[in-house]
Amino acid sequence: MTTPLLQVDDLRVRFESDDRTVNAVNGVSFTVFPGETVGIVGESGSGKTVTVLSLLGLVPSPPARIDSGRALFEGRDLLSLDAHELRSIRGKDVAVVFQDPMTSLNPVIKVGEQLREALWTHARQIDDNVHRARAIELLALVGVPQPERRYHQYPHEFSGGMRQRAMIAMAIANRPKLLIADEPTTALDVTIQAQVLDVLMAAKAETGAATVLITHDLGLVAQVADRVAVMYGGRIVEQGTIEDIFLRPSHPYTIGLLASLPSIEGRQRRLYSIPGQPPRLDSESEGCSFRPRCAIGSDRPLCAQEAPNLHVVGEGHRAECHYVAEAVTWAAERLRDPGSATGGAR
Amino acid sequence: MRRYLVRRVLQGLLVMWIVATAVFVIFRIVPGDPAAMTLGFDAPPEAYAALRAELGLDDPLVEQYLRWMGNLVRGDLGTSITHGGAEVAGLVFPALGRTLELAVISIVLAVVIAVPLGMVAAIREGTWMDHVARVLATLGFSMPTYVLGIGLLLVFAELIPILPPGGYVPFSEDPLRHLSQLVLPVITIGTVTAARLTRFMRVGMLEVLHADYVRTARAKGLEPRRINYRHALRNASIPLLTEVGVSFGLMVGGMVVIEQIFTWPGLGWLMIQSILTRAFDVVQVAVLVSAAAFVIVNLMVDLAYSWLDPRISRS
Amino acid sequence: MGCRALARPGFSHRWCTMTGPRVLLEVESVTTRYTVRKQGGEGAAALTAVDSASLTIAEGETVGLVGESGCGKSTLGRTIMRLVDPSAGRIFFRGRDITELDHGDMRPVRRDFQIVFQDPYASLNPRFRVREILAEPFRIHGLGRTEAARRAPELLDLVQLPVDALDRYPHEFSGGQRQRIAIARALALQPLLIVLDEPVSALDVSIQAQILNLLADLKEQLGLAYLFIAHDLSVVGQVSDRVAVMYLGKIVEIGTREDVFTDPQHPYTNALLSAVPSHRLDGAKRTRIVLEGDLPNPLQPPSGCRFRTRCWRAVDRCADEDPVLAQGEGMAQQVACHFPGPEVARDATRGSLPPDAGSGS
Repeated sequence: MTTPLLQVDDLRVRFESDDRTVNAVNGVSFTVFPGETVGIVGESGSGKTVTVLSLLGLVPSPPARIDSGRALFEGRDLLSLDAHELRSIRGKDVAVVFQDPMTSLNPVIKVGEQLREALWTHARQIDDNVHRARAIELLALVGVPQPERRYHQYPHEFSGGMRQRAMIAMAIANRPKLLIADEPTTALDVTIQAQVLDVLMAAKAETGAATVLITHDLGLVAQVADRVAVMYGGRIVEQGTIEDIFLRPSHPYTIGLLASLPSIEGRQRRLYSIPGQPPRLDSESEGCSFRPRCAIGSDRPLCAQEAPNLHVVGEGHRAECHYVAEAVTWAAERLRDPGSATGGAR
Repeated sequence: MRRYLVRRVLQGLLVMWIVATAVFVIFRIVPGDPAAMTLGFDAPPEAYAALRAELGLDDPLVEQYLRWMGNLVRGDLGTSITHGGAEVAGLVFPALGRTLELAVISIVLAVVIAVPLGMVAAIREGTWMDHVARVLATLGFSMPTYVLGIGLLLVFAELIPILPPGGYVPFSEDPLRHLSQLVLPVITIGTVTAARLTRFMRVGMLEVLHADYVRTARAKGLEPRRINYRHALRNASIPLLTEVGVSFGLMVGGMVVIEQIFTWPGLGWLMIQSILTRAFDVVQVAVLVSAAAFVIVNLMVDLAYSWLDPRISRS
Repeated sequence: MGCRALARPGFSHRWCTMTGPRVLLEVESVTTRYTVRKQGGEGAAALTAVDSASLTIAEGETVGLVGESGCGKSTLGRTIMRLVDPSAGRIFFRGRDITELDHGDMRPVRRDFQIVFQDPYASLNPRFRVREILAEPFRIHGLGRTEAARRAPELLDLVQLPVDALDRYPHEFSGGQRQRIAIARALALQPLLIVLDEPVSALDVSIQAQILNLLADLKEQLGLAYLFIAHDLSVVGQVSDRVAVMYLGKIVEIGTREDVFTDPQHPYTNALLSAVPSHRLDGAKRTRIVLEGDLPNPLQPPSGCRFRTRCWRAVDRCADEDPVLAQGEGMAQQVACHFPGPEVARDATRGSLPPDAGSGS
């Protein structure tokens, strides 16, 4: 059993504003092993971004507060590091590729300079020219044409895909052990997405880094991830390998999500749709947070009274549900025959 | 870029032309006979007629206008009857110089105060430092300059007489006294302007500090100091620059009250004096010069803007 | 369904007497050009957002218009609605030429086709209550407040919103609910055609399915035709009867959904389909095509075929001759390509042309 690179235990993050408190992350635990790609999937408000970014202290802190939890990275608890220690890890052992390359690069500083800065900040004693040369190398590595010329250009002179490549270059500059990609392709066109994804995967292969991919796109995750954690309402409701999640989903939310996805492969007579709205995270409610929208548990007393625990479905495959068996049966009819139009269709 | 420059200069000239025309119109509309104003009410009727003829006041308006514009274009700003035939230019430009001196030093003081204060307020948002900075800024912002000016005079020139109560001696004559005369007016204008600029700096910084690229900088492991200066400040200072330009431009034209309080013989002071002595030819030119200064400052700000922000016209 | 047009002003009688599935909308070689200021304020240039696009929509049919950013699909949608005027070409609605109708004459036509926009947060006036938002179409077409008041609850029912929504403001609703309100507004005057411009792009996946189902139900119930504009191929594939693929202002392929999706002929369509990540692990393995380079500058599109700078099938002819949309041999759809055909599985899938002067910035 390999030692995990990152182990997150019971992370809880709260957002406080004048009128209310939102429990954005409500007890999340997961593990990342060296070299693997873990996909964290969820819709908006699921807490996926806050979960991962708070590990590096990148969520603005007021209004966010980390209530409790541990995040062991190579044996050290990220959440208890002081600012100085955290800075030495950021951009070096753990690096981030953000979603919108248009706004994630400083518009008034040359791209090459921003790249060089990423290198310089963790290796101050090395000569600037060495850093500069390495920066140009990195640009070439990620497929930016004419890297010497592009080094001196500003972000607005790059196209969207190229900017994202530059961001990836910046992230892998110091050969991180863990790469975090927060919706890295969402802001890009489909054909550019494919390009950038390739670059990302190549970069990962080149550095051997483990990757945490945060996204709402299940297709993306199916394509590149090894393991997946599905988040809803601030909690991980199901996790497992991609085969587990996509071929043997066991949580009603995961099943519902998969059944509601249109696909270019085949046209469904009618998509399943999960009824209702995403949950408000500001109340401490009893029972399962998915219950109001759940085809299985919406009228079961147990689901209303008690929050479900992690139910082991298989080796490394867990779902937080009281009625996993029923969910799996339901999945069998729902997913094999997506044309059936009945049942909670609104 | 050059086309942009040319276009802006042409726009500036257009503004100047409009101002010159407006000045002309206003001074022809204003009630009162300039000849009577100049000579007083006791002079014989022939004297008025003579003066009116000399000033060309009986010529058709169009002719007067063309003469006015013609002279301006040639740089002939005329002579002033009231000042005994002295060259108007010789009165106005030195006054402009003295106003500029005040304005430049004041704006420098304002920036030196506002930038750090605004930065600290934004970086330490919500803490006592932020609150103090905001209170100070609001105080300075709401304080009328003349109240502050007179107050400072009372305290530092009357109660504890360590500074002169206004006046002006040229630097070449008595450097120390000159400098001491600068202190109070500069503090007055400078602090009030600083208050305004602090608010802008704070808001600009706050916006930038919450921007995605600052988050990226943090994710790279950069220290706060580097992030605040290299990444945040550069972006936040772009809109601040516009404010600085506007403030400066306003100073040049609008320091009338301050110059009165401190008896500083700048452009504003000259304007008042000339109005009181009915030296309209001086007033006209003073207004024009004031407008010109504002236009030029704006043009320079625009150019600096496009130089600072690489997203603007680097073709 | 009968000819609803008989009750309306501005119809073409000839159209009403046609039999069989009637063509509702006919777009003939429409070109839309914008004048844009060049960077640095150095003069202006003409941007051809839509270049000679033609398509038809029949009653009760959903036509999907798909492409990436800058392809002109939104502009085409707006041009069809006469929100933007075409620079060339003609638009026929129910047999009548509406290309040059002035504002007053267009108004009665607009009762029959409506539009739903992408951003549910921007398309509803935040200062109006839902009641007023739904009443507006009636007001504009002079149909009276009583009629509006009578129809409002019906409309809300059609989109499955509770009646008490009438007295609330848009900000009290979620994105999906606001989109329902926008749809209800579009349905107010019983249109025949609704243009949907990225109607679900801003919504979460679980809400997306709700809205797509709603649209499908409404289509069945009310006999609506849709022009569904989107960049998401899976969504377009789910709702469309026929699909048109656009690239840099031109329609490069158009045909039934089955033909275009299962037997794509244009290289761009192939690339587009292969780029969509699939969540079906057990699905058939598709040839993976990764396009090189970026979209060319739309102000300086490549000569001849616009796609040639990123196309692995391109040869000299492609730079000289702009291919025309036509039905090729052995295919049911129309393609604009000199070398149409499905993409066979192969190793060399990258573009063979180096990045051109027309690409990048």
